[in-house]
Amino acid sequence: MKHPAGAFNPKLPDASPNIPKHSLLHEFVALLMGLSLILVLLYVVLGLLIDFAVARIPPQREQTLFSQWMPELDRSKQSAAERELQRVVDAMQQRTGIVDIPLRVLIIDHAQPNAFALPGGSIGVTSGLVTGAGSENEVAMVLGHEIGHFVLRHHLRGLGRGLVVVLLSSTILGIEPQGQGLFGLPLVLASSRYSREQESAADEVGLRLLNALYGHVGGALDFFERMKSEDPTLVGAELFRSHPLSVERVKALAEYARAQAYAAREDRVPLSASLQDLVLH
Amino acid sequence: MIELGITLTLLLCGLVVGSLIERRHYESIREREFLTRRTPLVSHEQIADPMLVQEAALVVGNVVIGMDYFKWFAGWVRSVFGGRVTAYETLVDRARREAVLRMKDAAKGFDIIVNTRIESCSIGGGTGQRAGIPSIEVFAYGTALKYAPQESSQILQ
Repeated sequence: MKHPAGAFNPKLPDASPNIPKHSLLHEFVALLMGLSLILVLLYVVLGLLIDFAVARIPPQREQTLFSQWMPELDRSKQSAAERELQRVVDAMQQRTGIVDIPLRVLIIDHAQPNAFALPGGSIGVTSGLVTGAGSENEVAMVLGHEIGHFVLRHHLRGLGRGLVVVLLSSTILGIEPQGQGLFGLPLVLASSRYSREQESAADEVGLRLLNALYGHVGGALDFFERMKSEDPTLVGAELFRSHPLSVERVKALAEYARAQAYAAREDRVPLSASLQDLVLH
Repeated sequence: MIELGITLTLLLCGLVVGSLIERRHYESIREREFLTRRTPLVSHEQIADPMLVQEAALVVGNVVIGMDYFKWFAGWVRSVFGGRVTAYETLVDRARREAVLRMKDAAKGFDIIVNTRIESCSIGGGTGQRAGIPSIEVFAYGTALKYAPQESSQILQ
């Protein structure tokens, strides 16, 4: 038997105090931005600490540190083409005395034009970079750029910052690996930006070395002109890149050359025979 | 970049689909709460006079509600800073009310549910590297009573 009608008439409350009234999305975005800000701040502070430490590592110590796990490059084992590039590097070093550690060039068989400065003093150059080059000046600019990384000790700074990113993502973000894509974003943007600044600084050293070697900076922009086609067409994609757009680099270099009053002549030193003979495998 | 795209897609799916499901669920909950509002629910172990009871039965309501990716992520971000995890609050609220409604559904034809208890636990999830998106289980049970035919004044005492 039911309660007699009219004894009481229960009603439901209009709203539940258990349902939050504000937008969950707003709250989420605000918290996410706060967390991203903290991460970027940590990245910057730890990065500055690394810069502080790097400046205090003597070059000899750096060499012994990395000799264990970087390619051991005996100069007697260099190929004819590698010796040619080594000659260019040595000439730049002789004229400027710019680096404190001996540098060794090695050619890596790869079609993609690229070059690297490896910790310890190795400069890696892909065969694609050499075979596509129009002159020795063009290759020398790239070698000078890599020497710039050594002079400014970018490999150590880059390595340190890489460690910071790993540290941050494994300790703070490691809790939820699925979130790394999102939280990694501010870190990727910050480290890409830092890397682009390094590249621009190395470009300037490269230009300086090129001028010291040939007495003019003609051919400095050839490589970047060649790489222009690689620039992303997508708006905003440059924010994620470790290197500035080639268009930007050409512009910045031309400006720097003007400010330093470097001459830009049209004559080029042709690639030596052994470099011209270098073929892609 | 791909990882970021996947995360953003999942978040958007969770937000859009999850909100839609939640809104519909709340509509259904409110409707059924209105329809069953005349079945009282108490936590007392028994009514004042057991002699009035004609029939008694155990009634249970059980529900498992999954968290969506957005709620789960929002909850995690919140847990870094602390405070009200509002993303989870609606989930628990829905699960509790749904479980109670299912228990009431099981108590059709009865007059009152006494000795009502509600329990909850989380399913799945886990911690660390193998963490998944958890679900919440709410289990409501009680004793449904049917009064013996009496004069209404006697029942209400």
